Amino acid sequence: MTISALDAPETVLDLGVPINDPIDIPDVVAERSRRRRTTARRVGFGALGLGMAVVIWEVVATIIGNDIMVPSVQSTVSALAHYLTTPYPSGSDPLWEDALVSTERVLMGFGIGTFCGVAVGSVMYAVQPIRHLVDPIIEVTRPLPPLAFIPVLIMWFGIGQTPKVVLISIGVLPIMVVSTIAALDAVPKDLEHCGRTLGASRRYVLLNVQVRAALPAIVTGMRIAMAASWTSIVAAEMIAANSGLGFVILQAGNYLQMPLVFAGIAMIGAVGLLLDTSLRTALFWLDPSRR
Amino acid sequence: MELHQTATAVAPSLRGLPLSPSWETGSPDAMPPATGLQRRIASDTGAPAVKVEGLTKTFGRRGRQVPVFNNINLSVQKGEFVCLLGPSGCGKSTLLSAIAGILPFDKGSVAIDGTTVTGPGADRGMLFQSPMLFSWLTVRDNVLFGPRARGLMKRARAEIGAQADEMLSTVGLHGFGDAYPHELSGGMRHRVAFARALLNNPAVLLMDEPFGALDAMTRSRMHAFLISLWEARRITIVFVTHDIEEAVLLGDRICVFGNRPNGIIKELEVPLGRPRRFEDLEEPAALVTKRSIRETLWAAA
Ligand SMILES: Nc1ncnc2c1ncn2[C@@H]1O[C@H](COP(=O)(O)OP(=O)(O)OP(=O)(O)O)[C@@H](O)[C@H]1O
Ligand SMILES: [Mg+2]
Repeated sequence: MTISALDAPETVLDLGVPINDPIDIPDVVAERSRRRRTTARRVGFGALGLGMAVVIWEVVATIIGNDIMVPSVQSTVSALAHYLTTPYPSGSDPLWEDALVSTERVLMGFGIGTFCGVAVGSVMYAVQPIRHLVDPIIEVTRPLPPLAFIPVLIMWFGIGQTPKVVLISIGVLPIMVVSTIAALDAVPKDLEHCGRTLGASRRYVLLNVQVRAALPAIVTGMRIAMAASWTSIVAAEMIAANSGLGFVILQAGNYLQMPLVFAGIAMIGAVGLLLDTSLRTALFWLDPSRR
Repeated sequence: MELHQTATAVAPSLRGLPLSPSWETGSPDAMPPATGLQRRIASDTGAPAVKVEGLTKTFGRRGRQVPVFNNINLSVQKGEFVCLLGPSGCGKSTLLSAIAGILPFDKGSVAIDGTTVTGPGADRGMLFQSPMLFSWLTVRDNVLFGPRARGLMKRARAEIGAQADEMLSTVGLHGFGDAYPHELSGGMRHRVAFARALLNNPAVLLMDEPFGALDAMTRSRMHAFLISLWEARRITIVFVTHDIEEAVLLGDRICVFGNRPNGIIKELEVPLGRPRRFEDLEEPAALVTKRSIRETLWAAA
């Protein structure tokens, strides 16, 4: 069995042409396991990085020595542990339920925004006049801060779940439109031609070649949009909410309960990491070169 | 045979590779021996494989019009290897895309095996400057793209699968079916593209500077590969290049393009024998042909 290309026997084709390929099957296998090790190492380094951040946080908190300015890791953890099951403010929900409520809002807003964004982006990609028509609208609305929409959304949708979800999807939509168009634009025209000359129909090529080729980049857009939807959760839960992580953070902030504010932030970070990891896992499966 | 044994000896190490469960299913022992090469059995109508008549193409709309060529005629016999040679921007790619059916033209007609065609189809395989493999599919699934897209897999899955494996052996990639394109070298990727195009058994293979982006060594290997592939299967080929040397090495006939919009200004037969060898390029006949082409190109410029 050959390990490297140097001592590989020349592959002789039926055609009688020697083809001295620089890559042999064992090379492919070796490269795959090397990449797996690299992935494992990357996860290790990531955990190390997070650990270092916590250490720095603790050092800074100790130096400052004021739990209201910078709560220490211990007081944050104990606030987290305490309020995880104890309602805050009393009479409302414990922190884990707040996390669930916020996650639901984020996922709904993110889902709606992503779906509409990919749909709008695909149509804009396919139909040039629509693209020119819609493009400026997207560009104008893109930089608007979610907070600016709150009064309008309350007027339109009241104070229930709807305005909160809509607020989040407003943030997600333009990100997904822009990244979907960019992803489709980046698919080489010749890839479409290639599919067509192999006998595939226009529809087959659109779905199985163009959209498929764009999918990893679209998912990358989704990762950015997911982060953005967590960014607007606090704004969304300013709208007459009595539950959710954003609500708890606002509430605790008003009463200078800084360890609880940090605990809420840490919860957002943890759930955000979890959701981002699932998107990265999707990416892993969609793009073999990332494995 | 040598190749088959090597691959069988190597393949067991792939078992238990968690990344690719499909590797388990394609047992190398079950593969047909790499016997070889079926020639295209064309329904012989006597018509040329490719017949282009009066093709005219102008880019641009009202105002700024860019005529690429007027009234181009080209006829390629079955089993013929024709090179289209000319300066950059003379319309070689445009003509090839028009034949492939991926570029609409203004006037004229394209007929394949005597049948006029309008859109793209599996009867005309095309190879691009880069291999244009589908990065998310394994090598084997790339090769099977054509039959799958055409809905043939439902009817003859096992048979076509065996053909794909045989095709992979033909291009020297036995055992690489479950690798992904990014795991292969440049030359290997090009050979996957060959296998993928050939599995459709096209009436003509259109190539647009397919080896233009390869390094010199890989390029000559691909030349050797292409020559022997042509020997074995006598595929009809239209090959676009701007390299005189390459055209003489590969082609039976060379169509020389003038500057836009003059189209084909000269056609000449390559007076070299088959099977073509690299040494043939040093024959006096080859030198005369090369000089003649060079002079034509320079006179046109
Ligand atoms: N989409 C297009 N719109 C307008 N003009 C075009 C378009 N595509 C090609 N052309 C023009 O048509 C002419 C022929 O182009 P073509 O790509 O066929 O040249 P080529 O012979 O393949 O050149 P090269 O060797 O550089 O590939 C060029 O002058 C080019 O500028
Ligand atoms: Mg070209």
